[in-house]
Formats: sequence, C-alpha cells, structure tokens
Amino acid sequence: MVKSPFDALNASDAHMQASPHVEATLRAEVRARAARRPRRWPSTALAIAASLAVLIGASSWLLRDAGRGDLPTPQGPDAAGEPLTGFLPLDYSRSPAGPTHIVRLEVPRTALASFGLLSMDSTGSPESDTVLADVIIGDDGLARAVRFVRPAAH
Amino acid sequence: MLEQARRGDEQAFSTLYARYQRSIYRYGAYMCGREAADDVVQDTFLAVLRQAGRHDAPRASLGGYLFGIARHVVIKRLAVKGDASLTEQASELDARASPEPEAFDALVRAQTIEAVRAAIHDLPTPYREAIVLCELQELPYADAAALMQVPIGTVRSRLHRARALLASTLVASATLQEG
Repeated sequence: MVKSPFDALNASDAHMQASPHVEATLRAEVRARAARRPRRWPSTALAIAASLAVLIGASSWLLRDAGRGDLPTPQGPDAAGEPLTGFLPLDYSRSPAGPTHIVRLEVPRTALASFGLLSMDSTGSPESDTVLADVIIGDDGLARAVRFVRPAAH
Repeated sequence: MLEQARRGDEQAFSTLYARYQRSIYRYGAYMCGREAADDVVQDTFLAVLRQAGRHDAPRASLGGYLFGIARHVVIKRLAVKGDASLTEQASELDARASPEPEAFDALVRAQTIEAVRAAIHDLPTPYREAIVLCELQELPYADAAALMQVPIGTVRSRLHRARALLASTLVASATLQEG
C-alpha cells in the first residue's frame, strides 16, 4: 500500500549513506578523544594510598614511641636504588604537609597497575609479588606521594 | 550515549553513527548536493563530538539535536555558495502567493524517480528543506518547525507551496516528454 507520493523516492534513497572514509575519520577523532582524556585514578589506587597512609601513620607512631624522632630515610646508592618514576601524588598531596620524610616500603606489585604502570618489569624480579616504593609522608603521618624504585644490584 | 561518545567511547559512537548517519547524509544530499553530503555528515558528527563540556545539549530529542547541528552545517555551506535563503529570504518567500497543487499525489507517482528528485532539487531552498524534512525524513511538523526555527504554520504553508511548485514543474516535465 502506497502511503506517500514520495515512497518510490524514499525506497530509491534507501542505499544512501556516508562513505567509509567519513566513518574512519570520525572514529579516529573518537579514539583521539579517548587518548586525550585525563587518566582518573582507579579506586584501587586510592585504596592503596589509604593503606599506605595507615601503614605509615602506624610506623610513625611506633617509632616515636620507641624514642626515635625521625622515620628512616633511604640513604646511599644501595638504599636509594634507582628511581623508576618521579613522585606520583597521592590522595593527600594537596594537604599542607610541613616537614616531610621519605620511607621505603614494599608494596604489592598490583600497585603499579593502579598507577597506570603496566609494563615495568624492571622494578625487580618479575616473580616477586612486591615492588619497592619510596613514600613521602608528612608529620601528620599521611602519605603525599610515592615513587617506584628498582632495587640496587648486589 | 552522546556524552559517552564525546568521552571517547567507540561503542557509543558506533551506535550513534549507525542510527543517524543515513538520514543526515540524505538531508545533506538534498540540501547541498550529493557531492557535499559526506562533508555534511563528517562536519556534523565532528561538531557533536567536539562540543564536550557544553551543557546546553540536547534539550530536544537526540535526532532533533543532531539535525539541528546538521542544519547549521548546511546553512554554512549554502552561504558559501551565496544562498542565504534559509535565514534571510525565507520571510519574503513565505509571503508569496502560491497556486493550488492539483492532483499532486497522482502526479508525483506518475513521474520517474529522477524527475521527482530533480524537481525537488530545483525548489527554492526553504521549500526544499520543508519537503526533505517532512516528506522524505517524515519528521512531525512540530519537530520540523523547531528545527527550521519557524512557526508550525510556516512549515505547513511552505509544504503547500513546495507541493504546488513541484506539481507545476512535473507537469511541465511531462508535457515536454509528451511533445
């Protein structure tokens, strides 16, 4: 049944569509937009940051109780190892820190992925479940930043 | 879906593109010519993707929003060719008297597709737009009015005049063929 005098024209136009190169151009734009998006920290990174804060806070309290005023700071080439990243800001990085300290910790290897560092096999033995990290903490015991470190060769 | 595509979600873009590219292509082809239709589609979707962060879209339906952007693209392209009738001359055209279309439906059906297509192409731009949106894209008059930014009565009158002009063109064409 013919509903409109333009039905034949509509049927004839049914094949009309944009050329494949138009779609390819637009897809490239979509991918570029995805690549340009600022990476948001996944919740696991925030959880690790919170765990670090608790751990470091507890360490600070225990050390102060033991009569030591300062937290251990990596010293010397062996202690420092080789930083593999710059310091990456943590959740409390915007809070005023006052005097800060650096402590070295072993953190789960999954922490790398949480910071978007998926292929850093050079952080130590690939079989190891942990990697070394230097963490900047404030006097309040909150972690401000973290960097990953390759252990010094022995 | 629109916001997801703007954020770089390729699946959302695929859905959006598959749903609307044909109708926008066709609108572009009738308004600017087949050779420009690819550009109309590309410019429309690029504009949509690059409007991320804007909060004024879309108030209407997604299709209406996309056609609104496509219309801006069409207006720009027509302006380059010196045709500003979608914005400036429309009121003058709307004031003109028009003949009554006689036996329009039968006349259009009797013509070849190419003759009808050519007759649509020869319509003044505002009338062509009314035919393309209401007859070919089958938009409700209210949606077409919102898109064309004119009262719904103007859409009806443009359609009426467009049909009359099409009828006269097709009659002339048929007469030529018989002669």
